[in-house]
Amino acid sequence: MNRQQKIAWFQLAVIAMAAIASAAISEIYVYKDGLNFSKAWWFGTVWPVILGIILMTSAPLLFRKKKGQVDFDERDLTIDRWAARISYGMSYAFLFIICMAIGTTSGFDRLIPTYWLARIALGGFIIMIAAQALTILLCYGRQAKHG
Amino acid sequence: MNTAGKERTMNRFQKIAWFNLAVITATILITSTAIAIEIRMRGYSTIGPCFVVILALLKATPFLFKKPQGQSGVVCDERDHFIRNRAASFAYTAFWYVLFLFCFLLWFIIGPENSVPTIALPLTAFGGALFIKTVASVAILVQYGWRDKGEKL
Repeated sequence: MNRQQKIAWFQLAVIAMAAIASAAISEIYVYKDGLNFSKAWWFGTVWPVILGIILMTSAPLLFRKKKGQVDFDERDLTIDRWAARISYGMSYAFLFIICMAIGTTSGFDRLIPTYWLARIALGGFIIMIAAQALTILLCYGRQAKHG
Repeated sequence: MNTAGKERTMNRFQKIAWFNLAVITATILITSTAIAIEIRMRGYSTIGPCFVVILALLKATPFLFKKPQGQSGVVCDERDHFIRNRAASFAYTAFWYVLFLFCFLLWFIIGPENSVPTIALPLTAFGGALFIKTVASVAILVQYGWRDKGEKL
């Protein structure tokens, strides 16, 4: 597997682990501490999401380029650009759909807590990373090819 | 610089970028002026926001700036693709930075338990699209150098 694929797998694994950890912590808050689901979900997602974002953004540092070795050609650049384009498109689509859905279902004259904005921004960021990782893996063929 | 005998013209992407900037600026100016006048006269605004339909012109660029037909019809090379990709990438990255700043600053300034009107959400998505278009257009113009460079179409 090349460096891009390793980073993509790592980012997907971090997202999956953060999702599982968030669900588990939220459950603990609901059943042990008796919090309502909305609050428990908010508290449960804070640390896994923060840790996940730190790990995902530091992935290029964890998988460093090998010195004195060419590991990136034009095909990799094309795949990288494709992945960036798709991830940006998907994250904007997510933002647009969520914003319109909340606006139309709750009514445009209502009020919404500010933490929802932060949730939407974080959700969009996670979707961007996931879409990029998935596109890279799909373009390369998910498995090692004498890389 | 001797440009005698050369046809000095902007390429298609520069024209589209200038057109996008002009439409967005005109829409912002006309809409805000109409809203301001209406609020001053009636105390509320209903007709003013309708002027955002001017933005529909942004979707007309493929018809307004058609690719030249014929033998010398090549209008896009690798450099143009590179410039467009870089502009789009820069615009989206800038948008996400601004969105993050906006959401978290609002969260810190107003407080997590306080509220904002729901209309802020669709306006964020809509404003975001305009922001991306504006930044991408500016990035294209900056990369090409704002003005024509004696390129022939």
